[in-house]
Amino acid sequence: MKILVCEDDVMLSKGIEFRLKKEGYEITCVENGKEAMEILEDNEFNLIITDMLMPYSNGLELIDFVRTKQKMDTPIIVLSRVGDSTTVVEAFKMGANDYVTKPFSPEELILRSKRLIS
Amino acid sequence: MKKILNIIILENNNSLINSIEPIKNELNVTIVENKKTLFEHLSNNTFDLIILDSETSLTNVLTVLKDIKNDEKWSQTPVFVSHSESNLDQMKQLKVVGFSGILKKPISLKKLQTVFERLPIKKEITEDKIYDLSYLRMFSGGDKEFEAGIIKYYLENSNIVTTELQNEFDNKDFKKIVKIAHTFANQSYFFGYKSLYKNIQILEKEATSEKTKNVKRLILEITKQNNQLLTQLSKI
Repeated sequence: MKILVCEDDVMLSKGIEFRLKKEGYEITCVENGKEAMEILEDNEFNLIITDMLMPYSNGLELIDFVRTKQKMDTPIIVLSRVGDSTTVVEAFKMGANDYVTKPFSPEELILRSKRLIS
Repeated sequence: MKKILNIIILENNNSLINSIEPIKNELNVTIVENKKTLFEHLSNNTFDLIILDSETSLTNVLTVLKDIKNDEKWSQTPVFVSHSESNLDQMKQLKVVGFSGILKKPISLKKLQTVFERLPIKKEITEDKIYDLSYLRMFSGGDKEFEAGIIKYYLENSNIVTTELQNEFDNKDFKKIVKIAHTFANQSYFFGYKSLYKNIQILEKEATSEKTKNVKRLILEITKQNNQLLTQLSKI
């Protein structure tokens, strides 16, 4: 099972990669939406986990790329920040499947990931 | 938990103990009246501070100070000498032997507190652990190598972040400050320094509103707090 993690915070990205690898997933990490789009041109994933506020292309642009341009139904989990309900609602409207609020428990992310992948 | 200072005083009048009375709950004070008893106590206990009252006779104080400094078991313990009259020659002699400072009589509570604040042990007391690695451990699942990697990354990079914050403030680029603060808050959360995390969140909010004065103050405070955090993390 392959997961694409799109997060520009290196420490958080390392943390997510470490925990999900322990669960047996194959993880690819990128730091912005643009990089994610380039990888998605040639690769398929079972799940995308994306931050919202990133340089170059943000999370909403990535969701739009996956759902509208690529027409892929890959599950997407959005990493949002506290109090950013507007962005979360927008992400759901565009096709995101779930969200977790930073700072989050790694266990919560694992459970939500497993639920969507299965 | 606050440590109670352990102090031994050589004096044969009550001038010092009376001065200490208002803060005696913060101190564990032992009063001795002669050299023999002093060294008996030094042999059986560890003290944070020794105070010698020169009224017992300077010759005696000099001898006692020399004996204290000549024994490695307590030679590192700070020794203060209390006295009534300033005598330059006497002070020179005491300095040669290695006293830590003078307490001129009458000794006020303020003077004593200043001495206590300067003690090495007092510095340790104020340096209570400011971090909490519970969140990092939630991610690591107990993997020490991963934890060390994250701490190393933060030690190497967070100073760059605080410098960037200051640079962007100088450039009046509040949007960049918001972006940097957003990421930095998440990073600092790994180390459980709540006050730092909260300040970074407030900085993100204040920078969004371009509140220059508050942003400037917060960047300074965050830099200071982060330096304290780095000092402690580097000792792990």
